[in-house]
Amino acid sequence: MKKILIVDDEEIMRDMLVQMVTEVGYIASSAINGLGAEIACDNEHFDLVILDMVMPGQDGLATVAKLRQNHGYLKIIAISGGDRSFDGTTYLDLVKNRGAHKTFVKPFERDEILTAIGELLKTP
Amino acid sequence: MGALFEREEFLSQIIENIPHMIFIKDAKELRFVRFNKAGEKLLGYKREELIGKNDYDLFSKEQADFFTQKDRHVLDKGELHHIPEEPIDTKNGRRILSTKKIPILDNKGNPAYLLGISEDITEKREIEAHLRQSEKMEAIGRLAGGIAHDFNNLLGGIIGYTQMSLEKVEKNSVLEKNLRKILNASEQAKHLVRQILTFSRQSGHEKSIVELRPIIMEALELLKASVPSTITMEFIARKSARPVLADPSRINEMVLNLATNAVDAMGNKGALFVRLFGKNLDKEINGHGRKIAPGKYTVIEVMDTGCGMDEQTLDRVFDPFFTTKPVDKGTGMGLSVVIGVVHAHEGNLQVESEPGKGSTFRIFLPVAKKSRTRKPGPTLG
Repeated sequence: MKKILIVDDEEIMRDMLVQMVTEVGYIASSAINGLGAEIACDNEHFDLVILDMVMPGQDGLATVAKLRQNHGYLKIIAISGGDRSFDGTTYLDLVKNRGAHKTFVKPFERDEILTAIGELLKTP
Repeated sequence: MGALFEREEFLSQIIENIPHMIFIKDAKELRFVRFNKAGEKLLGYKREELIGKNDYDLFSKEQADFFTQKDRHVLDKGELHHIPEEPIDTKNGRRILSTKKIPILDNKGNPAYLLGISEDITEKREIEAHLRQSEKMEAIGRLAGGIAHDFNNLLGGIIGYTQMSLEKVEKNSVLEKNLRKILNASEQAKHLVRQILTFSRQSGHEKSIVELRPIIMEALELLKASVPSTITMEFIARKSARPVLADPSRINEMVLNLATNAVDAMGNKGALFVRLFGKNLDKEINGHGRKIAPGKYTVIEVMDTGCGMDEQTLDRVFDPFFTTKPVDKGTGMGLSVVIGVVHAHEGNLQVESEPGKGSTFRIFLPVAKKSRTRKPGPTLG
């Protein structure tokens, strides 16, 4: 059973994604920020992380870098709703070069993200 | 007689050299009796064409009515009157004037002449209108950007739950139809938010490969008209400055905002230096808030000798609505316009400042990739 970590400071996004991946057979946990994500990954083995780029506190880019450094096996999907100085796409372009495997701009389709998760978890 | 003539000449020279329009009308019929050089230049008439005429001979009835009414008011009240803004149609087009009218009394205390002094504030008003407009657009952009982020999160939730429900619902049921309607509306909302964001980023503007020198010159020319002569302005463009891919009107806006800010920091006295040059970075350097990657850049540098900024101000200086100016002097959007333009051009910047000494803003714009324009070759055949 593959384990997925959902990281987003918005409750509705968090709950929705947890339910969405659980329904199709994954085991899901959640965190509300980058620090929470690092602690969770240090304590449990996750196969994939869905990470919101814009959260208060730690910069999403820095979180991706730390996770790649400490848990190189992790697959990372970065999501963003766009923040005040960049729109969603520009920030996500940046993070693609820093270790996120796939990126999505909110709001995304259920099929899109489930397909991406499936593809990423197929390859070791 | 010689001394009298000399004094007359001296006073005359003073009137002729004052850089604002000076005119004198007789109090009875309000006909022009005197004009100075600046007046001739402004109106586009030689004084011989003006002396003996009144406003009705030279301007539209509407404008002449307005001027005459003010003249009469001044002469009746016997005191100076300031008209902060009045349009006037000259041979060179419509100008906006700020005028002071003063009654000149004879030795019995009766009005003998009307003295007028007018400053041409057309350019100043244009700059103000221009800045207000771009500040408004940037404010709308900030608002839209802020709302869009939260909106997209909520939409993500709505779309996600609706799609999950559609998986579970009986096909062709009323419930399925209703859910599809919700999904439809949500998709439309998603497109609407994207459109608002696009509009607020003014992405309607076109970028092309341009030389920055004429754009900067135009911005500084526009500014010059409203800058006191006690502030010197200098612009040096080096040949090392290569063309960049840019939207000229936004670059113009950016330079205008930087220069205006610099002038405001200097009050009555100081120097503004603007430099344009090329710079190749072979390693990363520190920019404002983030690093500047190595590469070929064209740099715009704006330096002033004004009041400078301390570290706390420097941190917040690009925040929208942050300003150190008094309430009626600035809305705090000027520098956030600058950073918006820098980002929109994939550029970067550095700021250096010392309280009491002045500030330097350095904008790095990437050199355009295909910057050699092709000359048409010889025609064949």
